[in-house]
Amino acid sequence: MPEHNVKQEVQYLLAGYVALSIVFFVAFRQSPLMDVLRTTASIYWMFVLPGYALALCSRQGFVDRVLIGTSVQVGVFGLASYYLSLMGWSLATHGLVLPVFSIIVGIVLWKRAQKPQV
Amino acid sequence: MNREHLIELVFLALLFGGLLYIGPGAVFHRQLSHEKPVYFAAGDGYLYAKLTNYAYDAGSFKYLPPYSAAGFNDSIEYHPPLMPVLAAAFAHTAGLHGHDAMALMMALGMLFGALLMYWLVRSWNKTVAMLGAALFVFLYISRFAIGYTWGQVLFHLGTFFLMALFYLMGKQDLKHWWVPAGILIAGTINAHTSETFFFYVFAVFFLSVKFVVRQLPKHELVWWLKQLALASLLAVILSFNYIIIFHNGYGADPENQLRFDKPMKPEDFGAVRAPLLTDFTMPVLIALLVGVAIAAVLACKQAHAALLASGFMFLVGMSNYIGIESLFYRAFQTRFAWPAYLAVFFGITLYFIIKKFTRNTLIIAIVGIALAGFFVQQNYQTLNAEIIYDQQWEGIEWLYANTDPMATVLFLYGDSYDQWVRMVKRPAFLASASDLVAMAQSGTLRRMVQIEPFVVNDVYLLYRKSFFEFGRHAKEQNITIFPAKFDLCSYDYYVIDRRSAYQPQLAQLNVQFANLFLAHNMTMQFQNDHLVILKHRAGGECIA
Repeated sequence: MPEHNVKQEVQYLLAGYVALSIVFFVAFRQSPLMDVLRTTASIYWMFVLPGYALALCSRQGFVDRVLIGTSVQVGVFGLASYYLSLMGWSLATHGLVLPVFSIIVGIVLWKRAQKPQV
Repeated sequence: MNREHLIELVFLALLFGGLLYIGPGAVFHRQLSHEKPVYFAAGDGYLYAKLTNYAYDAGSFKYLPPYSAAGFNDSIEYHPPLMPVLAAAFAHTAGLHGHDAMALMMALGMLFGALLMYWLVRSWNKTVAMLGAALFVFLYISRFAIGYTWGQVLFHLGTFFLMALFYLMGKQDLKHWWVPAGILIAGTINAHTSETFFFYVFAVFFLSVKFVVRQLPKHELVWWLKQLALASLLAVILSFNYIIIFHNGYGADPENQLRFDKPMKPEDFGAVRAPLLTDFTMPVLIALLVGVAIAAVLACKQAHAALLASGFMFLVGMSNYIGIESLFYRAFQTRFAWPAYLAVFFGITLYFIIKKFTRNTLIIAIVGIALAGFFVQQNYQTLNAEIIYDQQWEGIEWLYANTDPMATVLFLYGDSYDQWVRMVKRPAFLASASDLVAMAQSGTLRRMVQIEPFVVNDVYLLYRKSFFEFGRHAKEQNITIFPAKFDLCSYDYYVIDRRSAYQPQLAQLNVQFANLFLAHNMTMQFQNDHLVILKHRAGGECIA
């Protein structure tokens, strides 16, 4: 059963967001700060946080889970967005909505994995 | 978090922050948002910028833009869908233009892939990973940078998924391994299908080497085969739509069939400037080759995924010497990611030198950063791939604001039009400069001129008759979608550059044609320092 210190890991993720924003702000220093923050927030919201959630059910270490989870979430998001847009749901709102599903699925899988097995 | 972790985190932040700075940051001119693409110097990037912008506007990646499909609004998208879809959705969320989001996702895909390769090597030897990571800066140095600035868009995303799969091959302890593997394989299928092929060949290579060095007990072989089979099944299910389209599109093209030819040298390949091993500079190349030799010995003791994946992609990059024609382009393309793939070999050589003196993480990190800085200082030239002049783009924006979406536009010679006019959101055509010169030299005006229609023409305007049945508009209706002789007077608008940095004599000829057109049924609609845009009265003569 995966026992992760989620509270601490979320703090790590937040620190990662701050670090990413600083790095972006330096690399794209002629962009307004709000543009940089929105871009890095979008990266986190669409890929990193849902990826982290999806990998919560794994016993791997924190960094391994973030790396695997984010990679998988890029695929999950892209494929889901492709098929949903083919079915008529414009991809304009996918970036806001689809990560919620990944996060919910991830938390459900994690909670199920935490239940004692008979 | 202990001191060692903190040092490594700072090391990674400096290294990848630096990569973002010298790579995408420089190409983007330090701005995230641009009205016009500034990061591609070749046509491929503009094609995918167009497709991404259309997916952004249309809300899906179902059909080709009608203005690039000879007016058909049911010509289906046959390009791998993942990058345009991801970039368009990301653009909406981040508030960026579609083309900006795509170029940023390209860069992030490669950088995140390099991070995955770092972590894979780290799982084998942390010191090797930290020392080898200095090689990553070559992603934005010399000919390796062309992979980014020439717009190898799909390759970047496909490589990211392939690197993630390599990483996963080192995670045999992962429960339900086949689930993430299946999603990542589906990622390669829908991002850049050649990486799917590389992954499966690698899987065979991986298991074969492990078998030969007696590190593959029977139960482990059974486990791998079962996981790979389940992952493949999942990938096929997740990719069913694109597999059908691919099979009927690219897959049906005789150009993509297996053909054998004599080996090809990178210098003889015209389509892309393939990176050479010597682009790493001689000292680095020597360290790399020594590292390859040491890694081969070490792999006999421990066939770690990091060593095998890097060795395999080194061989793929050299597969142009096998003599399979279909592999030439892929072999050369793969080399753009060599700085990430081959970092482990560079790190191994340095490790065997440095371990005699120290194993202190702080010193290792300082050496790694210092090496990266040294490579940049010695070899880096600020990347600038911008090829669209502001005045040219001003003309394009005028067209968007003032013309019908299906108004045809003929471009006479202009600097770099042959690369980027394909992304204009109108049916665009480019007159052959050499044919116009020939006409001028002959002194006889003629209406039939060699002209290139910017139609997305690879698979002849594929369309779906039913779920499994496809047709090709261009073949069925005998539509000319390749460069041919067209009537010079049959377009609605004419974009004529009056200046040229590369071919001033052609600009002079352009001015003569503009004057000729103005005397024959055309009116001036827009002009700036650089170009004029003329409108043609429908059906009228234009040159005599």
